[in-house]
This record gives sequence, C-alpha cells and structure tokens, in this order.
Amino acid sequence: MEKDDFAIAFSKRKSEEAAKEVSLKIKSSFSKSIGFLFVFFTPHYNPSNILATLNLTLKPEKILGMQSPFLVFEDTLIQEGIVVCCMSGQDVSFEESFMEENPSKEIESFLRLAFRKIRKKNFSLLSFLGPGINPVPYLSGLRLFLGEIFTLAGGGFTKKYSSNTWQIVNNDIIEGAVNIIVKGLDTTSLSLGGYLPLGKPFVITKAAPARNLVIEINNEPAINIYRKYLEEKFEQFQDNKLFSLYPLGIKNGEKFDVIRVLDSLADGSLACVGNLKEKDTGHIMFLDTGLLQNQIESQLSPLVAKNQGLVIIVGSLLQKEIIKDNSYTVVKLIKKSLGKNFSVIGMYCDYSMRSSRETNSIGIDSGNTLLTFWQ
Amino acid sequence: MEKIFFFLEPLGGTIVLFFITILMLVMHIVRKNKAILFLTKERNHLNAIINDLDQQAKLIIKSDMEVKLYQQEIESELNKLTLVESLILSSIHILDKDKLLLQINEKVINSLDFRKGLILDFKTLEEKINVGFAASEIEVIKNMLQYKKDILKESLIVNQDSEIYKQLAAGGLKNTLIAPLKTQEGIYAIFIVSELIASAEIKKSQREAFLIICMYLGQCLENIRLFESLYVVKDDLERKIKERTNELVKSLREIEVISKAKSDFISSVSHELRTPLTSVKGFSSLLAEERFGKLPQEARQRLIKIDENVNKLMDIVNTLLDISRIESGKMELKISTFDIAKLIKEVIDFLSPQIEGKNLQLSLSLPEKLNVFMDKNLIERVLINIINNAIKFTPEKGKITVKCEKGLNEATTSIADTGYGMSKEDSGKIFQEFFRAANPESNKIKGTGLGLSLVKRIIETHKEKIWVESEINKGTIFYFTLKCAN
Repeated sequence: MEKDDFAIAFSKRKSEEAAKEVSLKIKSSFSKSIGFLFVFFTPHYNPSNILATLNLTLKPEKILGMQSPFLVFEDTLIQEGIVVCCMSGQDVSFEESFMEENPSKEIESFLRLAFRKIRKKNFSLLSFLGPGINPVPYLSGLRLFLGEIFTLAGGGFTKKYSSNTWQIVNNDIIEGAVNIIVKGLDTTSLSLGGYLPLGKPFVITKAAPARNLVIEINNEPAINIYRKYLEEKFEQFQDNKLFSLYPLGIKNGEKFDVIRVLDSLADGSLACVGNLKEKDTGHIMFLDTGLLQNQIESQLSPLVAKNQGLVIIVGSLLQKEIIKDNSYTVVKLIKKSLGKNFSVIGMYCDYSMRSSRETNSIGIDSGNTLLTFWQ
Repeated sequence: MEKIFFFLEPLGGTIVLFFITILMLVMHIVRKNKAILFLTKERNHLNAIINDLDQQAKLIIKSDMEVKLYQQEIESELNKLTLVESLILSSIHILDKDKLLLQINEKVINSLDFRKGLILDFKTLEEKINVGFAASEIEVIKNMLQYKKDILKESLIVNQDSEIYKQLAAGGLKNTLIAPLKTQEGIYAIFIVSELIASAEIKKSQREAFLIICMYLGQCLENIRLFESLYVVKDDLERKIKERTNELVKSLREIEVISKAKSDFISSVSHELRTPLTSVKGFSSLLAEERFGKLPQEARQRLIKIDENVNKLMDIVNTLLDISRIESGKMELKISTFDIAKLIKEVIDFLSPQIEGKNLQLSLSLPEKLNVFMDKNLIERVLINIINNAIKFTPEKGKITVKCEKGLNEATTSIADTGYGMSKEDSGKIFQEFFRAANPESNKIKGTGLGLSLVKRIIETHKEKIWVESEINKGTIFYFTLKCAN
C-alpha cells in the first residue's frame, strides 16, 4: 500500500471537537475519495457524535469503529483521544459484517451468512470481538467455514472498560463481533511478547475449552502449578490475585501463545483467556522488558528496509499491566524501529487473534502485541 | 579371516562361527551397557540441570513477585497521595457541606482500594453518599449503627477488633472500615468503605489513607461550620449597621429639619427684633443725650444703662442674623484680593485702646505685604472677634502675638495670647453656638458665645480652615488660613 493510498489523524480534544479535528486533518491531507475509514476511540467519546461528524465531514463509503481504553498513534500511547485512518477504495475492497451480542449458538449462522460469498477465496480478515462474544467458539466457527487458508488478525475484550464497549459499523453502533474482509492487500502479522518460559514444561491433562477453564495440569489441580513455583509465597500470590503477572505459555509450533489467567476457582481450576485443550504443553511465562525491546528491534528492522504501508497494532492490556509505564517506551520503540515508511495506529485489547501459516492454526493470545502490516 | 577358519576347521566351522557370534554379541552387549550407563548418567545430569532450572525458576518467580508487590505497594501509596492531593485541590474552596461530600465519588472510593463507599448523617442516619452499596447492605449498616454509633465518639476510626465489624461481616459485609467525620461541635457524618478491590485483607496503608481522608473531610466540615457561623455574625453585624445607619440618617434628617427651623426661627425673630430695637436704640440714645430736655440724674443714668444694653442686644441680634444667613446660604461672599497684613494692622489700630487699657504687650510678625483672596468685611470681623477675645481673656500685662506666614499656596494667620487657656474638652466645643469656655474670669467677662461660632462659619464659607490650640494657664492660639493671590 502506497503512502498516498491512506491517511491517519489523531485528536485528544474533548467531546465533539475531537471528531471535528480529525476530520479536518484528514480533509487537509487526503484528497482521494474515502473508501474505508477506521476510527479507534477511548471511552471518553460518544460513538453517535463521532459517527455523525465523520459521516458529515468525510463521507466515507464504509466506516468501522472500535472503542478501547488505550490507543496507539505513531509513537504515542493515548489514554484519551480519537485515532482515524482512511483509505481509498482503489484496487482494494472491504466487506464488513457484524453480529450484535448474542449467545454462542448463533455464531454459526452469523458466520455462514457473513462468509457465504467469499468462501475458498484468498483474502485477509480483521476481526474485533466485544466482551459478550466468547472467542473460542467464534474461532472454531471461522475454521469450520473458512478453512485455514486465510490470514486473520484482530482482538477482543473479556470485560467492559466503561459502561459499554462500543463498535461502529457504518451507521450502526453495536456491542458484538465485527469482521472486515480485505481483498487486494498483502497483510502479514507479527507477535512481540518478550516472554521467557520458566521451569519444566507442563501438560494440560484436563480442560474445558468452551468455558475457558484449565482444570488439571500434570494430573493435579491446575492451581498447583503456581503453588509449586511460589511455595511459601503462594498464599500472598493468591490473596493479591497476581495471576496476570505470570501467564501460561502454550506451545504453538516454535512459539508460545500467552494465556492470561483471570482467577482460580474453588476446585483449583484456572479461568483463562485463550484457546486451550487437553494435551497442550506449556510453561509459566515471565515477561522480561529488556527481551521485549530486543525482540522489537531485531524482528522489525529487517521487515522495514524495503517496505512501506500501514501497521495496525493490537496491543496487549496484560502486557501493559505487567510492564506498566514501559508501555510508552515500547510504543515509541516500535515506531522507531518501523521508521518513517510505516504509519502506525492501534488499540489495546484483552486478547489478540492471529492465524499462523507455520502451524496452520488460529491462536488467541492475551500477552503479546500483534502487529499487522498492510502493504 | 580365511586363515582363522582354516585353523579352526578341524573343530567344525559351524561351532567356531557360533562362538565367534557369541563373543561378538557379548562385546556388543558390553558396549551397549556402557552406552546405557553413559546415557543414564547424561539423563540424570540433564534431570539435575532441569531440576536446577526449576529451582531457579522458583527463585525468579518468588523474587520477581516480591519486587512487583513492593512496586505495587509504592504505586498504591503514591496513588493515595495523589488522591488526597486532588481531593484537597477540588474541595478546599467548597463552602457547602453537601457539595463537599459529593467529592467522595466512585473514583475516590476505588483509589482507596475499595469498591463500595457510604456516608450517613450521624444524627438521622440519612444516606448522603452511596457508591455501590445495595439497599439491603445499607439496612444492615443502619440497623447496626442505630444501637452502636456512640462507639464512633471514642476514636478517629473504629478499631478492627470491634464488635461492629463482626456484626457487619455476619451481615455479609467483609473488609469494612468505619470512621466518623468529626467537627469541633461533634460528629457530623459516618464514612464507611467496604469490599477490597485487589487484596484479601485491609492493609495498614489502606487504613491510614482512609483515616487521612476522614480527618481531612472533618477539617473541611469544621472550616465550613466556622465559615457559616462567621457568616451569621457578619450578617447580623451588617443588619445592625444598616439599622443604626438608618436610625442615624433619620436622626440627621430630623436634626437638619430642627436646625433649619431653628435658623428660620432665629432669622425671623432677629429680623422682627431688629426693627423695634433700632427704634428703641434711637430713642434711648436721644434721651440719654438729653435731646428732649434735662433729665433727673437717676433717670439719665438708667437711660445710659438701657442704651448700653440695647447696643449689646443689637450686637447679639446682628450676629445671630449673620449666622443664620451663612447657614441658609443667603450670605453672599464678596471675594477680592486684599493685603492681609494691612487688614491686621487696621484691626490692631482699631483695638489698640483696649490693648493699651489692659497694659498688654503686643507683638506683630507680619510680612510687608501679602495679598489673599477674601471678603474683607467678613475677615475683618473674624480678626476683631479673635483679637478681642484674646484681649478679654488675657490678664493685665499679658502678651498677644499676631503672626501671618506665607505657605506654598496659603497664608496662615495666628493670634496667640498668654491668657487663661482652655481644657482640651472646651477647645473641642469652642466653635459651638452659645458655648463659653470655663476660666476664672468667665463670669466677669461678658459675652454671648456666638462670636467664635460666627468666625468659624465665615472661614468655612471661604472654604478655608480654622483651628485652636490651647493649654490651661499658658494661653490659646487661633489659626486660620486664606488662599494667597499671586
């Protein structure tokens, strides 16, 4: 994607002024007609106002918006603001579909309807899920209907970060699942985590994937994996609910999907965010900020030498929670490593979703930062 | 090999081959055993390394958790400090109790690490602020406080071992803190927080932060109370001042009406008196001068007395008329430029018989010429009045000093005597109508008490100043100013 095929803008002004400001910035920097418009916004803004202003001033053919507690614009992590990216519709097509918050049994019919036309054709898929959608059956449905031949990137939330977690799809404001099928663009994705596997590998011996529960690890109640490593400090660990500091890493090919542990249940099961099944092997993971920074530099530098385009970041709220203020440095480092040829926008989610060509699978990861390159 | 088989041929080739195979198998087994032993050793070594790594992992996780908890604790402390700071900044200027309590919102409660917060009025247990408490939970709290709220009077925060907390826990409210919001007048409200967000039990820092907030709110409530009482006092004072001012204005108006009536009365009476007095004066003078024929001696003496008293009465009536004219603004000033030094000399000449009659020493300190703006006739009366008074109230052989000095824009004339002088109290009243200062000779020295009153009015009509300095038994100095005409 050439630099003049898209434009990005950001505003941190209050209420309606923010949408007006980004619209003016886009208008002054992008002369083509807008085929598709992304808007990421923090909970401080009313989606109806954003939609009305953007429709009125920019008149995009299609518009898609996502609310998130934190956003990324170039080298800045944003706590309050609106980020907009618009693209021309030439040579690229976008098809959107959405599902309002619904019980999981309706996911199947939604996906059948949404992907009826494009089945078996080469495309990329960008998916964002609200807190009411369970990603595990959703991704199973995707595999069932689309096979493994497409590229998927996206993210979702497990809880609400204000009274609602809104999404905008053209003229609708919803809380559910949003898909954008992109044809005509080369999209690749990359995960950056900085996690180190600790100790002996374990095996999940009993799990309930549909309920996101790990019941037993190494034939013992799953919680014992933490008891084993924390010994006398375990009580303190459990009382302070520090599970997020040491997520589980499930082996996926050569890499690990980082699984956030939300809490422990009375029977010793662990409630998680991620795709888990019996016989999966893994480790307790430890995030090393230095390693993360090395990964960013070493993995991004070779990619950017000859390329240009747009990078959409799906940041990890878990990673942000662990490294705290270093998140700002990480965002700066990502932009610095990508250089001027790439424009960067993004949002933070509870988990990211990504298809892997190596393992021919779709993973849910709650600890890594996902970078999707649109070139 | 062929040589070996040839050598062993007599024993039968098959047997030999068998033994060789056995031998080779034994050798292979020995080699395998060695390999197994080596691999077992290696496996044990690797297991030891893995176990060692596992131990190291334990150490890493434990020490990392400790560091992170420590960091979390510091961050939590900092957050609480920030909370206190922002609460102070947002509430320091609030002068309304309800508005102050509205500052305790969900953000504040969460910053204290609790999910729920409640503020109840101490007397009525009426709900003032509620963040997250269910109606049933509030009922539990109210029921408990109804009988046990007096315990709050004893300390700044309810002790953790108190029966109150046990009762609340039984009602489903765990991890609760209760503290009074106190002012000097007593407890204003009760602040309750409950349900910790992250930790399992209340930490010392959480308890301290809650206590600081309660104490701060108590101080703010006390400030508001003081402000309100000050406001009431101020309001009362303002009301009283207004009432008094109204009364004074009313009195002033009444005085003005009375004063005008008095002036009108004096003016009309003086007018009415002057005509017959002029006639009386004319006839008494003519009679005393025996123009209508010789009079018996006794009758003539009495007529002379009548003539003298008619003169005095004429003086009084004229002075009263002048005062009332000045007061009513009817007196027209005829301002011209005149040499004050010359005028003083003329007045001294006019009064010199009296000065000489009392053997008074006169000292003049006058410029050669000093032109001032004045109504010559009126200032002449001022000088006559003051110098005449000095003559009257200075004992024989005393001294009178008349000075005139030029200032920047004005000429100050002073008339000093070495007379009886006046008390401070009398000095303040000396320009009032009919007032006569007390001194040993005042009964003997005749006067009406109107002269200086007229003098003051004349000077004030000139928009100038007149004042007096006096000391008993040392003397009196009168000063007045006039504008210089350059």
